[in-house]
Amino acid sequence: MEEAGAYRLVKGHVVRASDGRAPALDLSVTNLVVFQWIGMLLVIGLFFLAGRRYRRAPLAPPRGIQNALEAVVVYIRDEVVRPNLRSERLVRAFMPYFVGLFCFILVLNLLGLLPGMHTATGSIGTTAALAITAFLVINGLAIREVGIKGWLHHLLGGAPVYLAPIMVPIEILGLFTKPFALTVRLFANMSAGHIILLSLVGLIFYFRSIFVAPMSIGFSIFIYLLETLVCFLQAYIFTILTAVFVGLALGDHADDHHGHAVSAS
Amino acid sequence: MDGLLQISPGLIIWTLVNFSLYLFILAKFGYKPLRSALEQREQTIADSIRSAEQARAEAQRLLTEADEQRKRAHAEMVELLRDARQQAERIVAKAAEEGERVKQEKLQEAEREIERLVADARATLKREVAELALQVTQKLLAQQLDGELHRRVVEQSLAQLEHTN
Repeated sequence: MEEAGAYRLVKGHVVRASDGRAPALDLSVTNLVVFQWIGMLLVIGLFFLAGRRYRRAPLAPPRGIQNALEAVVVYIRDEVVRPNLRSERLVRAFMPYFVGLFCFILVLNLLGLLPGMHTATGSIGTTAALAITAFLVINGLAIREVGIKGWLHHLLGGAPVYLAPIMVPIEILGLFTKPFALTVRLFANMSAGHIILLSLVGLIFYFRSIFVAPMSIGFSIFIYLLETLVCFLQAYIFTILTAVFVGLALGDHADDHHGHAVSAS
Repeated sequence: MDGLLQISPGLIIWTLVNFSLYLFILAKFGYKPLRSALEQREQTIADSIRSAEQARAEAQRLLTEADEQRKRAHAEMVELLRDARQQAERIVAKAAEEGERVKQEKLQEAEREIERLVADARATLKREVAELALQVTQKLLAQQLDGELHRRVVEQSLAQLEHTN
């Protein structure tokens, strides 16, 4: 891009060549975008591989990668989507979204664990975009299913009408805090592990001693394994919270209890 | 890409584009075969379970039926056996009774025959005795028919004979 003429890279920032100011919108294909592409291709490739077997023998017992994908899909369907989206029609319609969301986050998380790779989900832009899709799904589905009136009524949070001055602002705030929490939770969890790893390795250089290395490496391995768990956990949490929020937004119409206290790490 | 908390709009837009594209491809070509195969398999399994259940119920029904039939046949057999035994006993009793009756009849007949024979014998004896007496008397008369005494004796015996006859 430096050679393209219109923009130049100055200290890691893209600036206009003409006046040295940042452009209005920087759409450069960063490494994180490339990792997203890799992740996409991986997931789609796996599904295609499994799909070939399905076309050949749909009734055969699942094997290998097909079995793994099936376990994920069935788990998401039975444990994540079905309990929250009560109607089978909605489950059918939105299963691809939840499966896709889970696989996307999981693959990006795991890619970040490979040496030399970056965690796309460790950047707030990626998680924010995912949370935006969750926000659209949650509210779009709620408005389509219970109508704009039902959606507005839901802003009361089930309280009597005279509490509206208090409840409505809180609920409107809640609409945005949910995706915001999703954004920060995933981003922070993915970043934190890497920061700890970096810090532990950094200790060796800080102390300028080779004797710190065994401790650093030992802890690094521990954190690395922990991070592997966190990769799966955070992908699951993002997915199930989205499903829970959808269930809450559908509210009474999905004969759901009116619990708003959904907390997760 | 520097500041950890920096939100880059470019990345958000790229992620949205990527994620939408990814979801579209996944839903269209990746997820659909899996879902249809899963549904097909679940359907098949549910059907198999249902038909197995039905077959089991049917077998159970047949088994109960056969058992019942067996029990019925057994009861029938027992009944038949009892009937036959009763009948045999009745026949035996009847035969014994008949034998007894025939025996009695024969006995009575024999008794009557004996009585008749006795009567016959008695009559024959009487006739023979009379004849013998007559002969003896004739002989006596032929030798000693003289005198008043003899005449009287003859008359007396004749009277007696007449009396008896």
